[in-house]
Amino acid sequence: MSTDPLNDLLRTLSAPARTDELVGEAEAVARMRSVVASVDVKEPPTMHASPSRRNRIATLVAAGVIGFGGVAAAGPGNFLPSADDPFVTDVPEDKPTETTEPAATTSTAAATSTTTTTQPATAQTVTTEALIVVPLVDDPTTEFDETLCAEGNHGKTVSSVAHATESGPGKGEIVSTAAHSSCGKDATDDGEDVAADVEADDAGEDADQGGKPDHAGKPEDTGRPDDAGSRSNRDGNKHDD
Amino acid sequence: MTDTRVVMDVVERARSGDADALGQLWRAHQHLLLRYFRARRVQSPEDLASQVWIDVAAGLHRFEGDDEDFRRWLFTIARRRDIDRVRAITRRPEVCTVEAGHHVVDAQAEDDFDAGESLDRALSMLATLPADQAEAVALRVIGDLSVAAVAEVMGRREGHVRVLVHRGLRRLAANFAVTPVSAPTMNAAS
Repeated sequence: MSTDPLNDLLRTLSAPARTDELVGEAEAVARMRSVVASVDVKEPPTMHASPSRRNRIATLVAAGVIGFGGVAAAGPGNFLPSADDPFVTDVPEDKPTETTEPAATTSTAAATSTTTTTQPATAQTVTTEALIVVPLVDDPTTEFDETLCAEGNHGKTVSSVAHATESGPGKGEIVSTAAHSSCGKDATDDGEDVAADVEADDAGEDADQGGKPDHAGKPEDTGRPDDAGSRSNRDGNKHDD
Repeated sequence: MTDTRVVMDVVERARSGDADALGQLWRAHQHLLLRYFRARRVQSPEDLASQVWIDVAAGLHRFEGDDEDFRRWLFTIARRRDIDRVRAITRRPEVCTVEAGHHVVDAQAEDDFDAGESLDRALSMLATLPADQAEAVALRVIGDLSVAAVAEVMGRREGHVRVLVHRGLRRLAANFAVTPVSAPTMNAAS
């Protein structure tokens, strides 16, 4: 017997189960057994990627490494074409292009002439058909430093002059002069075939049009002196001196 | 099942679908679930308890702990199932047939006070408390959980749980002062 009704009430609440509270044990246990049997105990999900996903990621990473790493590796090895490389052009081969450029002299721009050149099909090749073998002229009146002449590479010569000359008034003329000069063209005569081809071209063109080329292609060069350092001029497509 | 090793042994056997172990767990805790649900004014505590046991069976392979850990886990599941029930009723209102004996302190209950009715009356008085106080007292008394375990089940701080239990018991005592219970009745209950 308790004199505190609250304690009695709490004791009643925590009393053992009555029989009417345990009705249906068999059904409950049967349901639980079926649930336990149906539960497929698996390892908890992890954050690890599946093998197929890992393979995809590895493939992408490898492609990226090869792509960017290849370029990075080719750069120091000079396997990539340089912007100053005169043997790089992107003009299609099959379309003869008319270029008008001033006649190259050792000191000043003179009369202009036109020439028809056959441009290469790819960016990596260039024809040297129009190269004119002109001995290096050591003209005291030249405005550029002839020590910059790259042997056998007129385009590189012009580029060197362009880089070596400080910006400002007169730079264009200096670069133009270098472009019109024969500086760097003397050593291109490393084979007799080239000279022979050029001479043959000269003879053919003179015979056809008296120095006027066919205007089959879209002109890329306006022949302005400022364009002397452009890509078409760097190819050394000089016609006459 | 106060020994941790015994509990773990029973749980281990229950995981493999042993009927005796499952029955042992059910008999030890079913009445606690029913009383807890009745304290929370659940209309059909047996149905809700059945859902709880299904969840227990489904999650037995993940359980680790002693007897109190099992009760805490059990009442955590029970509380969530009851919350789901309340949400379902909120979304889909239904007519509730309130059983007067479970929700209102019936003056006639004192007259026919046997063992079963004393429990009903105690649960009825517990159900008159505010919901959070009734739940705290139920988990503390019926579930025999510590304050920390009750706080974990309810998602409250331990100090808050202590306050809830204290206020609930004080209110129950005040109710007894208003409607005194005869001594023979309480003897029968105990």
